[in-house]
Amino acid sequence: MLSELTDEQLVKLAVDRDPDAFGEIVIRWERKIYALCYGILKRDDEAKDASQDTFIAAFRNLERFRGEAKVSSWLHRIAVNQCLTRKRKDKVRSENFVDESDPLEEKIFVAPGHESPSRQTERKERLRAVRLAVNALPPDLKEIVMMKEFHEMTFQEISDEMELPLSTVKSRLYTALKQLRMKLQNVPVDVV
Amino acid sequence: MVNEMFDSRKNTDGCGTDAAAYLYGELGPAEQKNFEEHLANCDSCTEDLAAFSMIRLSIGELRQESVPKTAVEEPGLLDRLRDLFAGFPLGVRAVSGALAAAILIFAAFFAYSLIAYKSSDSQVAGGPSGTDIETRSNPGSDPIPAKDLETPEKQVPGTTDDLVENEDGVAPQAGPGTEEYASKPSRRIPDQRARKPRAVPVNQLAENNEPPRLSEAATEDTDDDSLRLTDLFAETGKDD
Repeated sequence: MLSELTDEQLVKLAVDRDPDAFGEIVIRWERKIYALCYGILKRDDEAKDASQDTFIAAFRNLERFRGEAKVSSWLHRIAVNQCLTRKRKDKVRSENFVDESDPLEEKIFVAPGHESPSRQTERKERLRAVRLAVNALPPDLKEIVMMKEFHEMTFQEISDEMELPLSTVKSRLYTALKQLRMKLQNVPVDVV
Repeated sequence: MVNEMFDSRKNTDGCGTDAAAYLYGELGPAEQKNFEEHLANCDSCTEDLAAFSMIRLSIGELRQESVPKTAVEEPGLLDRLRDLFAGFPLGVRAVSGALAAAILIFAAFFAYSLIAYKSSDSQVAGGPSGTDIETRSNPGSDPIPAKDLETPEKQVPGTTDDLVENEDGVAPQAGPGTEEYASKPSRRIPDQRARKPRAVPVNQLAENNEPPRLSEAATEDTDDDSLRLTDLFAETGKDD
């Protein structure tokens, strides 16, 4: 039932105190928000905390959501701000050499420890879609993706190895990611 | 040629390449700071970064699924035996070790006796001398009929030839011994990074720019999704 509603409809329901509506938003977006946080923070535990904080902040500010932007953009903006704030705090903390642990916060959006069968199926489909999309990349782009993702080479190492300018390597990877994004936008499971 | 091809589709998004470099943690401190300031106000870059992060996450899962197929997580027979014996008390381990050694010695003695007996038996029966062994293809047994030597053996499915044919499906890489490999100066690439996929033949790679459809995938690929690193190359033809 709830899964058939749009994000905006769910937010309206959540504002009207439907307890399940915001849960559905979390289910829909937790993976994406985690990925974004991980992309910025580069640490699993930090990214998990930041994504939880994102949903907490979103929940607290539900009534301020005016529907002018998409819910996804709104959540992304909150997530980016959470992450950048964390980074700034971490930087100050490391400069001051003070070990301040975060105040204990309520963790209400904990991802389940096990995957339900439907989640497992979805995951399999998602990975298959990604594999097909990577395979369908033009050879020169695919090569860069393989070197970067599977061989964990730096841009400089790839540049040296392929005898290409560094800027070309970066640009090709960006193009590859753009193409993957386009290909994966059309698959039935949420990949991007 | 590849460079020319690429120049035509060079991105003009300006901060796009920065988003990719940022994602992989490869911006310098100043660039990173600038990009983060930009990120705080640019919806487009935020969307890009979120989407690219999701792709990376999925590729990471794909990579993780490939790990159990390697030998890393599969303990060998010796490891398993070692683990098994490690649980026994010291006395039991000593006795079983002595027993194993005794069995090995007995087996070696038995094998030696058998060989010695056979060789003496063949000499008594007028078996082949040293020069005979050199000239005969099948010592110690009846000569092979001429027709058997002339006609090639019938091919049975699953023989070595089939395996070679199967292995052709896997994209060969520029390994030691190939001309390309020899002509390139050696570079210092850490450990596994040396196993780069740079020499994958173009004709084995997919040129399909259509978005992947899961229904197709479900019919084409019925086995599990776990993937070795080379599978991404090997399955290109099949998936398209």
